[in-house]
This record gives sequence, C-alpha cells and structure tokens, in this order.
Amino acid sequence: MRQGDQVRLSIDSDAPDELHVHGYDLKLTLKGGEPATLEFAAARSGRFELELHRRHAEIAALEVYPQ
Amino acid sequence: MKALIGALLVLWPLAAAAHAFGQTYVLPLPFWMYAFAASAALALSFVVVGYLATARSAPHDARPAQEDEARWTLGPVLGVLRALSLALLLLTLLTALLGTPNPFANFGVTFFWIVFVLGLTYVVALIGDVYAAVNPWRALCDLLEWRYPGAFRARIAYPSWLGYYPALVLYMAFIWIELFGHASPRGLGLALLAYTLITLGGARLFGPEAWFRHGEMFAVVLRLIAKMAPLEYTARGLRLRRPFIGLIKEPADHPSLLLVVLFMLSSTAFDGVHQTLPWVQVFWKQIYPTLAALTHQPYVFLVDFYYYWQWAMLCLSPFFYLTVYLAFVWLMKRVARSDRPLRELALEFTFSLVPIAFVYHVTHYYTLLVGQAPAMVPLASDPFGWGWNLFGTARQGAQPVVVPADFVWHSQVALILVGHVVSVYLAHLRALELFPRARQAVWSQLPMLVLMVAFTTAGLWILSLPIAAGQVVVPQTSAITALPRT
Repeated sequence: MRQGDQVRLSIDSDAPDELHVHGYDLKLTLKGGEPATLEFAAARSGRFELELHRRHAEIAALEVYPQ
Repeated sequence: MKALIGALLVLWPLAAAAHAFGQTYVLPLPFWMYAFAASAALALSFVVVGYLATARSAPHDARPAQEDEARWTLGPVLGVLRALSLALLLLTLLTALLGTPNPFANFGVTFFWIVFVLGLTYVVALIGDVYAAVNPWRALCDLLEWRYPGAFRARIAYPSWLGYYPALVLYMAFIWIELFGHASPRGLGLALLAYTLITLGGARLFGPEAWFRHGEMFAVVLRLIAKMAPLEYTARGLRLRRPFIGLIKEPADHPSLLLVVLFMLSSTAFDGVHQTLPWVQVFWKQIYPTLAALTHQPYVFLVDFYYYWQWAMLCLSPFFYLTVYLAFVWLMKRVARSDRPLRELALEFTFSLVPIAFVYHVTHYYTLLVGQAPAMVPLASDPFGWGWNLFGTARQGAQPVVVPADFVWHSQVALILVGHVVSVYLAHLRALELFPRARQAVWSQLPMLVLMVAFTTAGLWILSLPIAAGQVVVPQTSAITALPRT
C-alpha cells in the first residue's frame, strides 16, 4: 500500500493475545473468538511487522511504499 | 501467489526475531533503482580507471610530503577514557546478566548492539582507531597486571602460522550470535562473560600485545575499518592523512586477514539474504522435497536441519568469496604477466575491498542505529529496567525513529556507489605501483574491476530481494533454546 492510505486490520483470533504493529507502536487486544479491528493512517513508509505478542509470532508484514 | 503464501504459512507456523536486536523497517530496493545503481557502478568504474590511466603519473600519495605533522597527544584524557570504557563494559555485563529480561528495557543490550557494535564501527571509520587506545579488555588486562605483576607475561610465543585465525573464529561466533542467538539479555551477558574470559586467557598465554593484535576480534575488525579514517595515531601522536589512503599503505600480513575482510563482506551479505524469499525457497523448495523423501516425519526433523544448514552457509560464505576473489586475482596476474606469486598479490589487494565491505555494512545497519540509539536516553536513567530514574530521563523519547523508505533507498544506493568507487580507485592505485607500466596496470585492472562490479551488484541485488515473512522457529528440543527467549 501507499503512504497516506487508510489501513483497516480485522483479526479473528482463536486465543486471547495482543497484536503489535511495529514501527507505528500500535497495540490491539485480541479476545479469543471475537473479531477485533484496528484502523490507522499509514503515515510512515517502510516494512512493519505485525506480531502476536504472546506467541512471539510474526503473522504478517505491512509494506508501505512512499508516494 | 496466494497458494504460495498459504504454503509458506504452513511451513512457518511461528516466526523468530529477525535480528539479534531491534527492527529496521527497511523495504526492498525497487528494481528500477537497483538497475540504475548497478549500471552506475559499472560506468563510474570506467571513469575512475580512465581518469587514472590518463593522469600524467600515478598520484603517489601514500605518504605525501605536505602531510600535517602536527601532533596532539591524548595524554591524561586517555586514562579517564580507559576507566570509562572499562566501567561501561562492567555495566553492560551487570545489566545484561542481572537486569530485566525485556531486551528493549535493558541497558546492556542496546549499549552493546547499537552503541558498541554499530556506533563504534562508524566512529573509528571517521576518527581512526580510538578503540585501540580505550579497549576495555586491554584496560582490564593492564589493571590486573598492575595489581598482580607478571600475570600477563607471555608464556608462549605467538605462532606465526596462527595469524588472525583466532579473531576469525571469534568473529564467526559473534555473527552467529547476532543472527541466530536471539536478543535475550542474559544470553548476551553470558556470551560477553565468556568472551572476556577468552580474551584474558589469550592475553595471559600469548601476552597482551600478540592477543590484542591477532585474537581480540573487535580490535582486529575495528583496526581494519580505521584504516579508512583521515586520522592516524602513531607513536609520536595524532596525524592527519588523506581519507582511505591508510588502506594501501601496506599489504595484509597474513592470509587469515584476507578471510576476515571477506567475512566482513560475506556475513553482511548473508544477513541480508538469509531471510529473503529466494534464499528461503532454495532450501524449502529445492532441498526439502529431496530430503523429505528419506524420512518419516520430515518437517520435525528438517526444521532443525534447516538451522544447521543456515549456520553452515554462514561459515562457508567467506570461503565462497575467497574462491571468487582468488580466481580474479589469478586472472589479473595472467593479464598483467606479473611474476609475483598469487598469494602476494591476493594480500596486496585485500584492503582495497574494505570500503565495499564497510558501505555494505552501513547500508544494512544504519537504520537500526538511527532507530535505536535514542533509546539510550531513557536507558541511561534506568539501566537495569528496575524502575530507577537516575538522571530524570527514564520516561523520555519512547517513539521509534523510522527513516522514510525513499530516503533509505537513495542513501543505500549513494553509499554503495561511493564505496565502490573508492575500492576501484584504491585497487587501481595499488596496481599502478605493482605493475609499473601504466598500460599493463590498466589491463590488469579489468579482472579486478569485474570482481568489484560483481560484489557491488550482488550487494544491491540482495537489498532488492523481497523478504520472507519470518523464519522457522526452533523446536523446544533444539540446543539454541538454552538461551532463554524473551
């Protein structure tokens, strides 16, 4: 995605955990079995990991390309 | 593509930390930029060679007469700096071993990986080998020697065949910890403690002079980097010199030093490549299916094997670069019709590779330095992560510094091109001295030029590769879990 775009993340986790968006320092609490959403503007360019904090798992990466 | 991602997610159920410590947020270089930079490297090489070929005479400036002989001696300041350096080593050890297990809240982790490893590398490149003067382990030796005279009297004369191999082995172990050891503060503390004991042991056995010259890996690597600096510290004091000229003052004095330089290059390349999609696929798409047929539970078995495969590739990487390097030096010898032995020529051109290796290092790690260095402000107030606030800065500056991607790309390309031009220039300057007839030198430089363009293009190519999402996590049974994960 491009810098400045609006990001909307919907996570449906089977176990309680916390999602971290690195570089943006955003956190999203995940309750097991309940979908959770996080919305923010992609103001910074780069490659940012989406990490499940408790499991230490990188589930995806957000790649924001400069305009 | 979807199917591929699905397959990858199955293969990589969990991800491990990307690097020993910290995040870089770097996007792969766009292809057009890579293509441009590679062509520019080629074109600039010919400009350099053309310039030197048409210059009236080789700029004979290894030791120009008008060199500034003004000397400043550090004198009493040095004692203070050495004490400070030793105190920082002890603080790093203590905080890493006893402080919080959260690496980002532990002084030792940030100080070691960011300030010491990255910061000091760039400092010595700018102002010369200050590390030799303030080396904390050297200060520790001197302190012990003062307390227990004779503790470091050399017991065995350092064998000349050993060369810099101790430093090379320790350097490999260090990079292994950096790439595969995870960021646990306690693990780092134990590794540093072990390194301190090895250093003291080496200095006790061979005497401090010999060990800090050949065995202490930070001293060896930083001395190589410092050869680029415009400042030099001689017995008579501080001296100004032209930047980079220190690299062609003398040849490498042992083949093991060539391996150290090549490992500097190859380990950074390996760090860049080992988590990219093409590299990961080599194992999981080419090698895995073949090996999987041989065993009943292939994944469980081969996840471990994958780690050993990565380690083996890291340790073999300098020898792969060595083969390529020697092939091109041999070609150069043939083209220049030189009578000098291959070994001598290989050592003569060793240091001309340092700029390429250095800029390569900078492009990979400077974003980490910029991003993490500000964390030193709060960490200084609360080094153990125990909630202290010594200087009242414990709660300052928590926002991560993210360098914009386009700035990162442009600076990476610019740095790599500068390093490339400097390396080509130095190698050519050296060739003009070794192969006296200028024309001979121009021809002799063709293989060297091809080699350097190849190294530079490979570096750029690695920067342009897509990154694989995470790595295989080590199963609980594996040896590496002995270091506690955070």
